[in-house]
Amino acid sequence: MNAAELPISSDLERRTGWFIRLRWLAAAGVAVAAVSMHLAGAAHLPAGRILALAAGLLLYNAVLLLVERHLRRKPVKVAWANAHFLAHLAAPRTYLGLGDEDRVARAALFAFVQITADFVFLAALLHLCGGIESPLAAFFVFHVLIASILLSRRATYLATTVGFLLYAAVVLGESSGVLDHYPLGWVWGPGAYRTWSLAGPGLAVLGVTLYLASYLCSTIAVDLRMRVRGNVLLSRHIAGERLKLEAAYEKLQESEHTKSQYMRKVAHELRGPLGTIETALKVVLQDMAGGLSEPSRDLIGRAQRRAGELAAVTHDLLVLARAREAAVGQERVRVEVGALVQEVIEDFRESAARKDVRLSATVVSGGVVLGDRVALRQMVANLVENGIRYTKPGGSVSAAVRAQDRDLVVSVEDTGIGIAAEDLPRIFDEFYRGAQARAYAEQGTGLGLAITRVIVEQHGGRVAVDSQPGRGTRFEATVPTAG
Amino acid sequence: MSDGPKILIVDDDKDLVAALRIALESRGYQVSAAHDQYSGLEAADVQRPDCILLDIMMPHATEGFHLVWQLRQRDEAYFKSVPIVVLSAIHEKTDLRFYPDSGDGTYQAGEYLPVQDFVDKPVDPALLLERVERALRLRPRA
Repeated sequence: MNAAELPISSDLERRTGWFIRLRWLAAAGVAVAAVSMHLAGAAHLPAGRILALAAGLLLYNAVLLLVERHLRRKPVKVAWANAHFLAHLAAPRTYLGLGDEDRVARAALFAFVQITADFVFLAALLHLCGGIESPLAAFFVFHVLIASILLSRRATYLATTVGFLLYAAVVLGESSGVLDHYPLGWVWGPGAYRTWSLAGPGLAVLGVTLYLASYLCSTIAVDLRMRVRGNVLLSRHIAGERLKLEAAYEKLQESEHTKSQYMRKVAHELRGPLGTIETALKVVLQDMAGGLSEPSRDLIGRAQRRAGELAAVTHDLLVLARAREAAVGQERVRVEVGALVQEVIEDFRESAARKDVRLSATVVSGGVVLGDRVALRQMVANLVENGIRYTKPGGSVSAAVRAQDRDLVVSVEDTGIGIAAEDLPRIFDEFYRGAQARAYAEQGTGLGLAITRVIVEQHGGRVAVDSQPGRGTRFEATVPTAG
Repeated sequence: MSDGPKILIVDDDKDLVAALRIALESRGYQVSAAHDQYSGLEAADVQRPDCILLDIMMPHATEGFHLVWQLRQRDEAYFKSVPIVVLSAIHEKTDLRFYPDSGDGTYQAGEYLPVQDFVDKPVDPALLLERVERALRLRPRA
């Protein structure tokens, strides 16, 4: 959210727009009232002057409308140096310091000017409609309420004072005979307006009402504006924090990517020389280079095994790096997971039989996953291979595929050595192998499950494990199905 | 010096070439070697080997592919039929499908790389010897 979207200045502008719309109504109401009173025979009221006042109000409102449209279409910058004092006087202080101050100040100033001008109009109307006898006094309160909502406290008191002074000028002017009096003649006897017993309480009551109203209403308004200010500041803070978080996340992703690329490069560079070492050792071991003494054969055999371990690690590192980088721009195809699991089981049938481990697959769903076929196959193969590796002869490894809501669950369960509770949280970490795993099987790069997790996550899924030491382990990979 | 079939190894890894040379010579093959696309092409031209063992990823990326296509494009019947065994795991990483094992020594051009066989790296020497023997056995007699 940027400053321009904040509601404050536009709110203030919209509310000043109310005045203009209300004023059309007021002018029409005054005109209708003047005409109907005249028709009803209230000849003592100056209907012509009242109509002229209504016309003046219309004209004045038309000018304001033009000004408002102009301001809206082409935001004029308040010449800050000139308007500084007035703007600071009129604009609620709680709205300043949030940016966009020009617009806030301009709208507040515009509202202040209108309220003051309206008081002048109201005073004139009051004068023409009975002065102290007129119920129009209530409209003075109405303007004070609006002032306290839109303006600063100081400007509200200033506007209230302007209103009260104008009201007092009319009442005192009429009672002292400086101004004519147009009696409303409902309740009051003729000449009552001249007596202090009417003017005094009238002035006092209106004065107290006006100032009390502006005090109470502006107190509430200030409180509400403080909350708005708090919200604005909070949302800005949140927006700022979000940007920071996003930047941090991007940086993290970038460094993850760099890490994978680096890993891939290193593994790739290692693979060539390692392959050559393995081949050379095999040529020697297979007696193609002439006979070997037993100790030499033993040593070369050891070297070959260790080279093989290294080769397995580099292979797995490459697979892991590729799986990590696959997220971006990977072409996804429809993969029938059930068939894939069966293929993997067939692949491992021979090695399982050699170890006397029973191997089975139960596929109860023909679900299709949108993904990378090679990677998914690798994922299943890792789980099955793990199962066979950590299961003693006579045990079993069973794979299953079932549907669950919109997901497909691939589970691989073995009756193997199990995983200690303290190892469970870390088995998907790179290079982590639990103590039992290391003791039971020498081979194992510690990368198989990390690869499995990366692949499952790249497919929008998750992998879970449940294990009881000595009884077996169950892995479950849950991936969303296509469509 | 034996007078068995002539094998040309084209691979930039000279240590691997040395190891394979020993393995092949132990079976009586005559072995020669080249270390890039151009010297490989020249050696094939001059020596007319009975079988070519070819690496794909040489210093300039996929030189092996170019060598295969350049050889097969020659008019002479020899170049169209000389068995090529690719030493690479590259088929895992590309969409290129390799010669389908139809078992009669022929190959299809087009989407297939017109070679007789491939052996993954790291090369298992026993497996390589087996594949070389088969490629020679299936070689169409010109």
